[in-house]
Amino acid sequence: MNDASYHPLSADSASNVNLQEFFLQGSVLDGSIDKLFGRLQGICDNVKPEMFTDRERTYYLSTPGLTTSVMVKACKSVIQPSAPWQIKYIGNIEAADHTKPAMIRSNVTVAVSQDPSQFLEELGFILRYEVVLRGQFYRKGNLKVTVAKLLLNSGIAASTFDATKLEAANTSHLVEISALSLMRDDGAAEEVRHFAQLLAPIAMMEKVDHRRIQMHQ
Amino acid sequence: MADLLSQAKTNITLLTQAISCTQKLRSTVTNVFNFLCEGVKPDEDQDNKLEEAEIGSLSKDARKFLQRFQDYLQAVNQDYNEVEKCCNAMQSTTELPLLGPLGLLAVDPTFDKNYFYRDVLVAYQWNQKMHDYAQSSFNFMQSNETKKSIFPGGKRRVRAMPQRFQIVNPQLIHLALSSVQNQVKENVVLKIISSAGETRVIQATVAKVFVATILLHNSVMEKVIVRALSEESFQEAGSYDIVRDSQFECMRRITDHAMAAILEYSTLHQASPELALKYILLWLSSYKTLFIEKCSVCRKHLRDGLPPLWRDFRNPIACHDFCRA
Amino acid sequence: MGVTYVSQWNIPEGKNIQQGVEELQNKAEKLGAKKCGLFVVECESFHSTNAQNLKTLHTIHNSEYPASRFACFEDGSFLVTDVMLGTFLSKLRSVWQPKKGGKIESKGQRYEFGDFIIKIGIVSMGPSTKGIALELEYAPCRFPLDCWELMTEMLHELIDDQAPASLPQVIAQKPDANLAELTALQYIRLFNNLRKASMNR
Repeated sequence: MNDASYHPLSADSASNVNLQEFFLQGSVLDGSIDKLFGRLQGICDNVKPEMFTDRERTYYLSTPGLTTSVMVKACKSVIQPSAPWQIKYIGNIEAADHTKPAMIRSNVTVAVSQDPSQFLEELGFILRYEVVLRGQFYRKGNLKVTVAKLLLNSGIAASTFDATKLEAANTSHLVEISALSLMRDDGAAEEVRHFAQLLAPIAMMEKVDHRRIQMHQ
Repeated sequence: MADLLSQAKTNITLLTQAISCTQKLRSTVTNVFNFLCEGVKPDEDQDNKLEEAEIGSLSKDARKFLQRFQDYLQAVNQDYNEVEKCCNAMQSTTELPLLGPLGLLAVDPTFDKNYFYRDVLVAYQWNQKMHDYAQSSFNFMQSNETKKSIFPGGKRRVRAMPQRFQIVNPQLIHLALSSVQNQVKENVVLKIISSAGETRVIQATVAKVFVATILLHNSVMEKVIVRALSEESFQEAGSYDIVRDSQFECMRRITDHAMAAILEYSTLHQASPELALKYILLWLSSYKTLFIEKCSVCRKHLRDGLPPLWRDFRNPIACHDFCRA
Repeated sequence: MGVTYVSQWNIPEGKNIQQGVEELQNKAEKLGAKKCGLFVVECESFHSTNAQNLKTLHTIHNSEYPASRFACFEDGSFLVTDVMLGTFLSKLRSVWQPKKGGKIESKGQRYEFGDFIIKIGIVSMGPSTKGIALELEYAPCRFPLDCWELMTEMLHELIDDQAPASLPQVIAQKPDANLAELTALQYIRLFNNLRKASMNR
């Protein structure tokens, strides 16, 4: 800072990197979860899997004149209170493209200083639901693998969060393999698919058309 | 300490005695068992006296056997008493305050490899002797005082006594700190950050102004660093930073003043370092108005861009460094 | 991160902005302040395409906090974020769009004097300059109410008659708020005033 030749950073350096997330999802019944953990322990990087418990609030912003809406998640770790809140923009999922081996979505994560709910509401977002994900996180190279149990906050108001009063939403775990990469790089997608094959037949990782699920509801 | 050492010496001789006694006891006990294993042996001159009544010979054998058995048992009893005597003669050494953690050196099984503890003990003894010598010579000189000063009111210079090694119970320091905390109340919040052996790091947060880090050795202050509230006192690795200076000019200057204050107060209250600590904290608490109070001399807030940083040691009123004169 | 005061400095009659900046810089140097690099504070404003939402969103980047961005609504919530804020907002393009002429910045020389940081910047919107901004920060103190008197004394020495008579409204309203927030809010107020002034002209 004391250097006279110091030039302050420009506002938009490196912040406009457009990243894409390639991912596949699947689920495992609680009964065979230990098998999956064993398999993951064997094929992932040899570090201890990280336990996590995250609150995840999902907000939607409807666009005037358009049917699609913007989805944003506000996340906060429960077991690491010092970790900041994060706002995650999650773009539309491209599942229909049959030439790609994995699903694609754009992902922008912003760390913020405090609970962003008021900020998001002022932006026009509406809170749809809040869930808690509790599980383990594995990594292999730049692949991220999460195995998590979906828990629901039984308290009615979202503001009264109590980590001890959580109920499992169903009897299975959600498995997700994802990799971040630059816009035009399909190598990561291939990597995700290859890794997914290693988990068969414990977990079948497939491309799921989320729009179709929503249509069935 | 000297009597403790002699006590340790007698203990050691007693221990060797006890060991040899135990060896004796073991051999006598073994004798008893061997004797019992052999059982009742017919007497050597039994053949010659076959004619004698059989019942009588049997009882005679038995009597002999019992007698010898009793002798053996008595020997055992005697040896046992000796061991017990040794044990009772030994004095408990748990009260012995070995030289702090240095005492652990003496427990080192590879004792032959280092002589630290022995050397430390010797140094300690010398220190004690020197101190006693200084004390007695001081007393002697005082009774035979010759006035050298030509001024009628000239004060005799009091020389500092040579320092004595101190071994202070950590609980005493905690007690002293909590009593000091009661006196400075909410202006200063004390927190013990870490303690290793005799050294402690104490964090004193002065109102809404700054954080003072004080390094204590026993209850003697060694160093103080003053940093702003916004400055991080913990290093990335999680250890407490006791080296880095503040990034702010005014905090660095207060650090200098505080070092001077430590020297001043600890020479004034050499006998009771706890008192010096109390005065330092009271003096530090006078900084609670650092950004609020104007200089008492020039009636202004700023001089060279700095607030009034000086507080007198006796009468802590706000004043600029250069307004003192 | 310390207590900060931001205000516009009115240029004396008959001088242009460049001359005004030089005069202010001379004053600071005469006091004994030392040049210490450059600084920039940028502000970009967004508005909603949804007619019901009339709020304006401001994002601030301050070179004093190079890895942070500040997002705030006027009289609303305030958030400190990391550098991804710009990308995030670009994803909301369908609803939140940059205001026309919403980019405004203050750029200039940074001085240090004792524990004070003095920043003298030229406020510009695109190619046109709007005025001079003065920022005074007293770094060691974290409580505006405590050191305000001390800062006024400094301001009197620096800008005489243009020194403020009382605590700025932004600070008086919430003296216990995050200091970076108070700085950002004062800049937003300053930029708004300068924008309005140029529109009225």
